Amino acid sequence: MNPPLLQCPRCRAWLLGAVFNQPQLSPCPACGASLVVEVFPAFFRPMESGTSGEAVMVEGESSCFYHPQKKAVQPCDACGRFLCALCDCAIKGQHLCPACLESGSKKQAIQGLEDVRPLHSRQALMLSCLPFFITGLGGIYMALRYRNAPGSLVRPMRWAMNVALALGVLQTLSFGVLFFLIFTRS
Amino acid sequence: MAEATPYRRLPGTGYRRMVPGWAILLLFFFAIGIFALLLRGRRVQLWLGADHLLLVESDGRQEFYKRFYYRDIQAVVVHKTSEGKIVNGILTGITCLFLAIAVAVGMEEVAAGIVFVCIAAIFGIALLVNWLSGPTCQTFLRTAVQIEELPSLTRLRQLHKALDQLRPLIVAGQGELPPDEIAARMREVVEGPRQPAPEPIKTIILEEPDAPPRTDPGPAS
Repeated sequence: MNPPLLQCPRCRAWLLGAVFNQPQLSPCPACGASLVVEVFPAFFRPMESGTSGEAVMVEGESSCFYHPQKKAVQPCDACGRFLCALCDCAIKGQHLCPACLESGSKKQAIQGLEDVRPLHSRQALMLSCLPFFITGLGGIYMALRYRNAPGSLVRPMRWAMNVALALGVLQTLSFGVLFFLIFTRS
Repeated sequence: MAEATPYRRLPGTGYRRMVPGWAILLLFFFAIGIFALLLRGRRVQLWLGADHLLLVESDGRQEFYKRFYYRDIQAVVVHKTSEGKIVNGILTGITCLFLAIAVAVGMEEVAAGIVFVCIAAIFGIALLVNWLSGPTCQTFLRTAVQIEELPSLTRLRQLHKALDQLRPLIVAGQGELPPDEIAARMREVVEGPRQPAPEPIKTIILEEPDAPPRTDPGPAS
């Protein structure tokens, strides 16, 4: 287990309790850099160790799918396979096996494990705003293709799809009229 | 219409830089102008969720998320930096330089003098904004498994505002840590946990080389 110690970001010296949770900036005892160090109870909490599954003692007792010699404690909420204490991954109230966890993480299907999202609405808006003929068409395509795709977690910007669509159509029509006038005049 | 999101934004926006700040400034003024801003890197913001702090990095095409659950946050370490003072010094120098040029040129040609005053005013406004934003800092968040830099909290004033919003949520998730308990727990960490008193050493008396060893019961108390 890591010792619960903090280092000064400037000189890497170990910081002691005198600088913790002070209302004002406190100097680092080693280099004198002004620091604010706010610690919380988790800082002193020992790291929890994982539990290994119990061995199957009685014949016929349900065992783990991945470790047949270990006792099953929970079925996977996604695939229903029996899991021992080691294989049981509890996430947001769900119990998942490592395989479902990995596939769910890859497909971005598990809420709380999603770590990247494409911003289709902003891309569509940006394309529609660029003053070129093909970008307007691109904006229309993106707005229609990703109309129901999930947007940003923090700023969904659903309105941007409609605006992008309107601007894209407007831009394409304007270019169409422009080209028509140029060709008919010549 | 405002869309419902379970997150609330914390003050501050920063950039996880691809190239150093001085290189961007150099490119901005002497090479590629406004396009240098494309090299700023990912924009970073912090958002408060129901049970976690969400760090959002955006490159314009995608958003990248990192979650720090309130129950897991161990510490926030902030280091006051001198970046703000250095930038203030540089901007003051540039403003003064352009003002001096404006005065020198303006004596002979008023229009040129006005142009240089305008350039000086741009740098003066930047100086004012930087000065009003207050001292700069570098912020780190520590959990049991990582130390993450928070590039969005680079001003002490923003940091205090953000901590005032963040602290109650962490306390709700972990409980309060009284100041006297910190000292006691740190003493325990530095000195190690208290060990039980060692047993008194028993002396072994050998009377005959072939006899089994006899232990001395120790002084009678």
